[in-house]
Amino acid sequence: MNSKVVITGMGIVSRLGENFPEVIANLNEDRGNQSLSGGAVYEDFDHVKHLGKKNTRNLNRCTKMMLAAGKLALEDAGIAIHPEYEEDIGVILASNYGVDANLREMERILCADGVVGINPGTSYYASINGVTSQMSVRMKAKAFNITMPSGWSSGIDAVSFAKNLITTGSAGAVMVCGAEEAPKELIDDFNRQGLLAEDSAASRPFRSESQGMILGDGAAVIILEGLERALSRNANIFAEVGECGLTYYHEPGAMPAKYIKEALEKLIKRSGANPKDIDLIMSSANGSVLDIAELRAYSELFNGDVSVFNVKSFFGECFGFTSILQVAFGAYLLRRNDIKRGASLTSIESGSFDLYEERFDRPFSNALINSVGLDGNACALLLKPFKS
Amino acid sequence: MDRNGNDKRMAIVGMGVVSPIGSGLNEYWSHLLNGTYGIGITDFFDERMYSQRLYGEIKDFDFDSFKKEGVNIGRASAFGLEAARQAFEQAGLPVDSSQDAGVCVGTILADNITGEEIFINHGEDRLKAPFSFSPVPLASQNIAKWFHLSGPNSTICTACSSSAYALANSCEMIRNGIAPMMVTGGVESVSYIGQANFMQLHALDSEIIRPFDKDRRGTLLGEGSGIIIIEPLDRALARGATILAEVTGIGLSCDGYHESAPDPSGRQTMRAMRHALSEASLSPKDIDCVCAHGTGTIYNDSIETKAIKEVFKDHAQKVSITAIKSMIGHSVGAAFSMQIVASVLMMRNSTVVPTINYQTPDTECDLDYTVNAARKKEIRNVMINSYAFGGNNASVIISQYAD
Repeated sequence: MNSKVVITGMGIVSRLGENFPEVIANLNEDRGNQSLSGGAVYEDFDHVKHLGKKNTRNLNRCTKMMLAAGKLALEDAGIAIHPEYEEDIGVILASNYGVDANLREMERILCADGVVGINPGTSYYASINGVTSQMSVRMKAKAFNITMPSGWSSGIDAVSFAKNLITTGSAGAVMVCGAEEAPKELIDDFNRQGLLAEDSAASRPFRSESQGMILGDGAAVIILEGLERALSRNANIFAEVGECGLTYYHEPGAMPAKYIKEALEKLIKRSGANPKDIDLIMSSANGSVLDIAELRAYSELFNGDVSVFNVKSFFGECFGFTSILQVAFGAYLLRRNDIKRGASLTSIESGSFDLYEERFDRPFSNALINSVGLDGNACALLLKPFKS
Repeated sequence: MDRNGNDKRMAIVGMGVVSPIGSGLNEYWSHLLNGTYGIGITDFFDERMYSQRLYGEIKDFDFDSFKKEGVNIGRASAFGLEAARQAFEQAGLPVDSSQDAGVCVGTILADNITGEEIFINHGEDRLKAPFSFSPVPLASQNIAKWFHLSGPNSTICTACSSSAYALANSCEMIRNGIAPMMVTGGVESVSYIGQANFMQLHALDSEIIRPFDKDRRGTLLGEGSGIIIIEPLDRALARGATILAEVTGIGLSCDGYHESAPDPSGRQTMRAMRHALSEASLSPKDIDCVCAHGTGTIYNDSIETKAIKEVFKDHAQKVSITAIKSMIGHSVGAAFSMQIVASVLMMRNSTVVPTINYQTPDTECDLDYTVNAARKKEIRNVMINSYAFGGNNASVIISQYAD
């Protein structure tokens, strides 16, 4: 039994950098605003730098990014998985489109060449769990290996499950991963639905004139660990994982602000906190129609002394990847206050919310991670600073 | 309170099933009892393309009753909705009566067949066809939409053990106060891609599925859905619900060995069994029946047998084992959900259903597999095993409810 669960490491592979210090440096040097120009797909990713060349031929792009982020996260946490405690480490991946390109390729091959054209060496990519399995096989993490393709909020879903499994003793630590890839055909599909902006300049999270989202890709991994385990090895603790609230809006049409507000209220109440206790929000805004509802919910629930940080302004909408990133950035900001600018947030609707870009370099007392999706998922998570 | 300090006993209060041998609990049970074989040649797979066309197809299913404006219902979703409808009915829960309940479904490809058919029919012009977001979470989401459930909505994929992990997640959500009740289980439908991949892996038997038989050569796939409704025992009793069974132990583990082949040592499958026993505060001799993963593949069946012998020791020869895949095929992500429904029915009917198609004993598989005919037996506790590509193991114990 673990009474508390904490975050002790994080790794990222993204268009804005390949570890957190690099990403933070780029944000502080105001490169965040340019990060989406030309799209949010990390085209220059070079897996060899992280994984070498050997035994990577059959791995897809999502797997390579996840493995690279996983290695960085383990390094950051100071964890090397030794045989004596490999059964104590689990893996959970939040991903929805991690094998999208593989499935489309298999369809094409079936039509062109028939069944014999299917490569048995990559057959595991017929299931999204094929990505996650590579992490457990290569890192020897044997507590469990789970994939959660739950939709837009899958990252919060994954953190919730990981926390519960640590609490009940099924694992001492869990690598909670978010990884997505965005092949051209997927982008075409979203575009056809009118959900994407023509270019990055037209994707304006939190602004009514936003034309839509930008899809991106990348991978982030956070290490969740039981507090006693973390303390026993003098781990660097970023934050404590608080309550999770997971809800689903089952009505037709877009989720209204009232629903988001009520979902957040329930979570905050269940955690024993008060809206006044929240001073940092990691928002879910992505330039879609949901942004205004999300902003309205914040305006009604919180006073002005709240800072809103929006990762999708820098990374695009990347589903499982960005929902894990929201958690990672929330934990980072609770521990360290060296993000100087919330550059993208200067574009927030004037007068609708009291938010100042320079306010990320102040101490925060509690962070609310909010994730809402066009599929109806409305999930949230509280992060608390760790106090020994 | 169990080993992990869980003070919430978890009750199964409703079940539903759609399978190649029948829909609804009565029909499903009747055919399980009689050893009906639900697999045959399917017209889904074009004989010019598929040399292997044996499949556990669900026929005569009323898809029209699940058409709803604005809701994207694919084949797997429809199976899940019908199974959920039965489960709600048995649980005595009218629509709108359980709005805080959540849904967690295990699946591999769920409604992916919709996209596969569009591609096959439209080719590269698929962009003209309707598009939804990822097809995998659609079954969970459609159940929530249909039954107006606003609790957590989650989808789990651990390949062929997906629905066992969905149950694990559901139990944890209830225990941690995230949902008061969960609708959980699995869905899977026919898939051109799925069948092709299993063919290329040489994982399919060319004749018949015969778990634990010496001449077994592979599994055969099928489709279906099993849905159960779980809630804390005290809550269920307070509203006067019938308690069908209790979920008393869940053990999870991962081989971390290979992306598709199981670890021949069986070490992690044993760990999952032991963990489940420990959580249930039971010893192997308390287990009356093992509802085996039993796929009919050469390695899976022998490794599962080896693990049972190692964990159960002297009791291994006494415990009754059954492999229902011998009748309904391997419904991959939904496989465990079909097993847990069958296991509750076995317990409530004091009967172990048979492993059919068994002809030739194998020295590596030398336990009591309840071959070819059902057997009356008092069953207090059932262990259900579920394994998968990636080495994703789960063992779940369900127990008779006793005051």
